[in-house]
Parts: sequence; C-alpha cells; structure tokens
Amino acid sequence: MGLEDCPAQNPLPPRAPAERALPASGGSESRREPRERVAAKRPGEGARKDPRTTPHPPAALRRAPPSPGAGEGKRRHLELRLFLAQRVSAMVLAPLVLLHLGVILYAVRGGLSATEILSRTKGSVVWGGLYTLFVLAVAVHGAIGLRAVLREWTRHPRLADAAALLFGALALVLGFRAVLVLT
Amino acid sequence: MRAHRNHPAWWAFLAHRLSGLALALFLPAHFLVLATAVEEASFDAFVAWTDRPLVKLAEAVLVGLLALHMAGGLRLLALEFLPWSDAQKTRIALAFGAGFAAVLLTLLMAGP
Repeated sequence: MGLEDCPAQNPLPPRAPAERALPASGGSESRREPRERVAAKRPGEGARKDPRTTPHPPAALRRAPPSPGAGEGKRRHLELRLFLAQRVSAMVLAPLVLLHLGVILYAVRGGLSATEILSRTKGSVVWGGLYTLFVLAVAVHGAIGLRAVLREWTRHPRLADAAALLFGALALVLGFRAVLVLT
Repeated sequence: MRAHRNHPAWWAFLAHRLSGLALALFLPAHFLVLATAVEEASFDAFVAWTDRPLVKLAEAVLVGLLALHMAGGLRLLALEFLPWSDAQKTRIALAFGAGFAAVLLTLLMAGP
C-alpha cells in the first residue's frame, strides 16, 4: 500500500496544483475534480475503484468498511479510525486551545509565578477536568500527527508507529502528572 | 520553486505541519516544567532564568505557533467537512494572521 492513499495524511499537497489549475471563477461544484464529483454522487464507489487517487476526505469517510479478514482492509480500517480520531481530537482541542491562549495572555501579565498558577488551579474541579481532557486530546492528536508526518517524510512506517506510541505515552504520563501536581 | 509550492495552500500545509512538530517537541518539556510548580522555589527559579529577551521571544513564537496550528486546523476541518468554497485563501490568511497576532499580543502583555 502506497503512502498516497493513507487517509490520515493531509490531503492538501496533492490537491494544491489542481486547486490552482482550476478557474477561480467557477462555482463551488465546478472546482471539484470530475472523479470527486462522481465519488460524491455515488458514495464509496469511486473510492473503492481507485483508492490511490481519491484522497478527498468526505469520500474516504463514506468508504464502506472493509471485508473482515483481509490484511489490506484491516490496515485501511486502522487508517480510517486514526483519521477520524485526529479530526475528533482536533474538534475537542480547538476550544481548549482558545481558552489556553486566553489564560496565557492573562497569566503572563507581570510575569509567571508558581503561587499565582497554583492559586488558580489548586482544588479546582473545573481546571482539573479541562486540563485532563486537554492532556487526553493532545496525546491522541500529537501521536497521530507525528505518525502521519514521519510516515510521509521518513518512509519508515515502523519508526513512525513507535514514535507515535512513545509520544502518546510520554504526553499522557507527564501530562497527568502535571495536572495532579497543579490541582 | 516547484509549481505546486507556488500556492498559499502549500504554505499553509507546511506551516501547519512544522508548527505541529514544534508543538509536539515542546509539549513534554512544558509538562515537566509545570510539574515542578509544586516546589515553588525551583519553578520560580526557572521562570527567572527564562526572563531574557531570546527566551521571551521563543515563548511568544510558541504561542504564535499554537494559534497558527489551531487556526490552520479549523481551516482544514472547514475544508474537509463543510461544502467547498472559494474563501480558502482568505482562511489561510486568517490562520497566519491569528498566529502573528498571538505573537504580538504575548510580547505586548509580557512586556516590562
């Protein structure tokens, strides 16, 4: 299985030239590639016929689950799960990051201090809960992202898997430790 | 420059990827330092060490990378889950703008 058909990867680079080549004045539908439009009309079919050239995520999402037992199908199933987990964790992270940016801007006024941080977080169920969710989501999101980047840039899938697992474990352990210390 | 790189979407992809990598590398260190807050003296000693222009700039850049990665991620989610639109270049500009604004704001707020 080539790298190009991995749905967890960012579909942008291969799309960019197509995006550029298409007339900017076109309607929203006309900017899609013809094959994608076919895939959009008949969910799953285009993707199954030629999975290497249909990186459009909605088509990937509509792809029928693979037949059980097939190694290739299992792997694609894993990629689809990772793709979805990456998007779901991103949706969880977005508001948390926005909140975090606000807290950073608030906390750095007059410099950081341990007393100030602890007085905000100690005994707070809300901060404890939010940061626990933050740690969980970021461990998932960072691990899958790291895996996708390493698979594409190093071409050592095993290394990518190992690095992703290591990152996930490290982020979970260190993150929960920090949350425990601060709350 | 290869043709496909001469497009904002390619630069948005690269910025998203590099900012994600940088944030992933930074995160374990961030957690480690946070956990030392339980010994307030050692945490504050570390904070005192960071009180130099280059570190301050690096911190502000990290905040900018976080904002950029979030804005770029929202753009990707919109690209993938919402109907296709011609506003993609605007969204890319907004993502870069958010990152840059976060850097400036952090520097401003953390200033003397």
